[in-house]
Amino acid sequence: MTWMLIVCNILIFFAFYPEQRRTQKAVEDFIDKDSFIMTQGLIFAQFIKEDGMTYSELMRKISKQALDNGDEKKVRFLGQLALRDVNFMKHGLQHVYTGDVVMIDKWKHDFQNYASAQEDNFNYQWGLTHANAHLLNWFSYQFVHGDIFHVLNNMVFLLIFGGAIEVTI
Amino acid sequence: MKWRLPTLGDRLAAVIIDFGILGLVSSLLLAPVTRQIYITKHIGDKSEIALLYLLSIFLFVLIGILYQTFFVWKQGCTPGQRAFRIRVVNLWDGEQPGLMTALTRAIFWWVDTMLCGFPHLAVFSNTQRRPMHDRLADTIVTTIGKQTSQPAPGNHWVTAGKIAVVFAFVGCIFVFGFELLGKYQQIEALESWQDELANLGGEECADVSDAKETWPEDVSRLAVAMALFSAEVVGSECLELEAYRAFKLNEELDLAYLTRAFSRNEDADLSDAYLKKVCEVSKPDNETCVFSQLIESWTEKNWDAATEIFDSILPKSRAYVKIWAIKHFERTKQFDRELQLIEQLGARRALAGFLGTHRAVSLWGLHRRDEARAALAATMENMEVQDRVNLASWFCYRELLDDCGSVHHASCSSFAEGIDDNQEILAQSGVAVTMLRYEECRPGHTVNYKELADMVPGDDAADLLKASEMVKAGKSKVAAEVLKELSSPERDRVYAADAQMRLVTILNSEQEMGEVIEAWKGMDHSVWEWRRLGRSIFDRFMALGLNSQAFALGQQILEADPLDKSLFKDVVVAGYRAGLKSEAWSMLSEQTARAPASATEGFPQVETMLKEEFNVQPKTLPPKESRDK
Repeated sequence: MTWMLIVCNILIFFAFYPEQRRTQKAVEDFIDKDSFIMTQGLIFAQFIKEDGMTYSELMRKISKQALDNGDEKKVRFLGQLALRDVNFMKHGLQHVYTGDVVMIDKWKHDFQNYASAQEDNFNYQWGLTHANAHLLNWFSYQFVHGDIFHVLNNMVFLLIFGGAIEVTI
Repeated sequence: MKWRLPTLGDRLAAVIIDFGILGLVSSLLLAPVTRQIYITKHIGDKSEIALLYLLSIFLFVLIGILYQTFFVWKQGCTPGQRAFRIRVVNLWDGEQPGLMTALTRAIFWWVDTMLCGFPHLAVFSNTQRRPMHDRLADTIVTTIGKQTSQPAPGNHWVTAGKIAVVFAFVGCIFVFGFELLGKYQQIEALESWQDELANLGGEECADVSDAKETWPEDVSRLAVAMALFSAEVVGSECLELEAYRAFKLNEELDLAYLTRAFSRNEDADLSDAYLKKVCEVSKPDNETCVFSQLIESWTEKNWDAATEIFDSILPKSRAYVKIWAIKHFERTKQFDRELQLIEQLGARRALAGFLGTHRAVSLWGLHRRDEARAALAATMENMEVQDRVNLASWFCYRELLDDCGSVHHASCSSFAEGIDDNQEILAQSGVAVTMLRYEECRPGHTVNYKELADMVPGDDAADLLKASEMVKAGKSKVAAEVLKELSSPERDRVYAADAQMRLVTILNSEQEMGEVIEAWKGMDHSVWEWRRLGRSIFDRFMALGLNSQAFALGQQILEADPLDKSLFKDVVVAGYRAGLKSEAWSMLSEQTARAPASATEGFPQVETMLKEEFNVQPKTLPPKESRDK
């Protein structure tokens, strides 16, 4: 059984690797765009500020510092964190933001493109996330890996633990 | 009961494998805590970071206890032990331990480990190799493999000592590592706090604050920032800071959008979107809206349209508009207008460097050479070395092209001094060609082309030096080939222009100069290079006695640069020598007010002869000596 799972994982990984790389690159192109992340950081800071108690005190503190000073480090940090925030990814576009309207419009356009790229992303489609937790994902995520080292590490683990548990069972 | 004991090496290897597996598992399970530590570091809350580190250590130990308990209970050994055929069994019956036994053993195993591992050394204190955790759980570690350990009296203290040293060493590394990590975090937190302290004033740009204190008009910070940016006193980061402030305070949005058009100009579409927004948030006749339209004219190189736009907004405009107008008028050779604007902006200390430089350049453009030199000297006093060398290079090159004797002028002296300490600046082509001219013009000095070749990098420089050396050695034909090749459009523009001027001086007929003349005709007539190459060709025509060609060409140049008095006189002489006396007289009579007698060779005599010929009473010429003064 353990060996079967290992073989399945490896086969699935190599079969879908080109597609996975292509869609992952589309997402990474956005993440690597500094202007997108920085604008998103300021927008996310406004979002946190206006969202009341949804966010922890720590997050509200960081967003206030980002908005007050335009602190580059904090803005960039928030911009990257926003991509992992389910609430923001779901509702971020619907809020009204103040400030540089040109930058906000550009961000909205880029954000929609990013969201589309993410929807197409192989790992996102078959992985398990807060936003993507259908029944199938609870099963399929076990066969989704980021890169060759990820799958190798996991297979080593599976060999050790799976072997031990299989013997025990 | 006689037990088969594993070797200590096997036991140690098994522990290493187990730690490896634990490391991987716990990094996965502790990811939320790690994330929280990462987030908290941005706040710089030391106490919270420390608590989170303690929590992560506690959770790591807990995972370790569960790991050992589970595997020892279920299969009598951990995965690492299994690999080396080691088993943990009950001391009394040799059976696989139960849950409570496994748990007890695991808890005390970790207690031993947290005490820097020293209690594990008790493995040497008894023949059964049972340290505290095995004693408390009533268990023993055995092997089912072939190789066993035979404890013998007398040697265990040596082994214990060796392992104690290893543990102490590893322990020291951990302690030292944690201390370093702690210090690093303190430094990081401190830097973060210092940044935050700086940022209390950091939402504003310090250069703008300083400039605003002495700014003559009461304008906004953003307007001052835009002026400083336009004069290249501050960079785009400063402009961004001030623009961010303006957006935050919802002030002067039209100017804020205009500044973003400049600071984000690497993205053409975004820049255009900003320019469009300027007019959306302001009135069409507003200074910022009109100025945003100017940028389109510049992009299309529609200089006339740009001049018209400036004419419409300049009278009441803020400093940044005037600064761009200065650059525009310099580009379009409207030096008198440039000078007027420079005088208007003169009271701004923050712009002293920019204004001084452009004052010197505009005076040079107006052929007011002495005033230009004085302005240059005053400006260079307060400049940074690099800027000073660049400016001195610009002037020195032009001085030397006009007259090699200018090598003693302040611009060339300043240039030579600056180069001594900043030889890396010779990588710039403008500075390199100046260096070569300077070396060639130094009286009594033999140019060391090899030394220069070592100092000045690049193939273009190497070719220019090679050609110059060949010219000096009398190998004009070969030099001409090299210079022709260097003049091609694919080569560096500055080296190409210098190569063309040198090429002209070694060609001996109009036919030979044909290619250069055609290239000159095809050049943009508004650029200095066109005029300077034209002057070189004119001089060569005169030297070769091609006076009518010189006269025609000279008139073309004068049309573009009517203020060049020196050239004017030479063109009149050329016309006279070519037998075009009517034309020469026509030029002279029109320009009488602007062409007083000077020391240009031949001109005074020509002037006199023309006046005689066309029946104008000549002035009585003073004695030759006073004429020569």
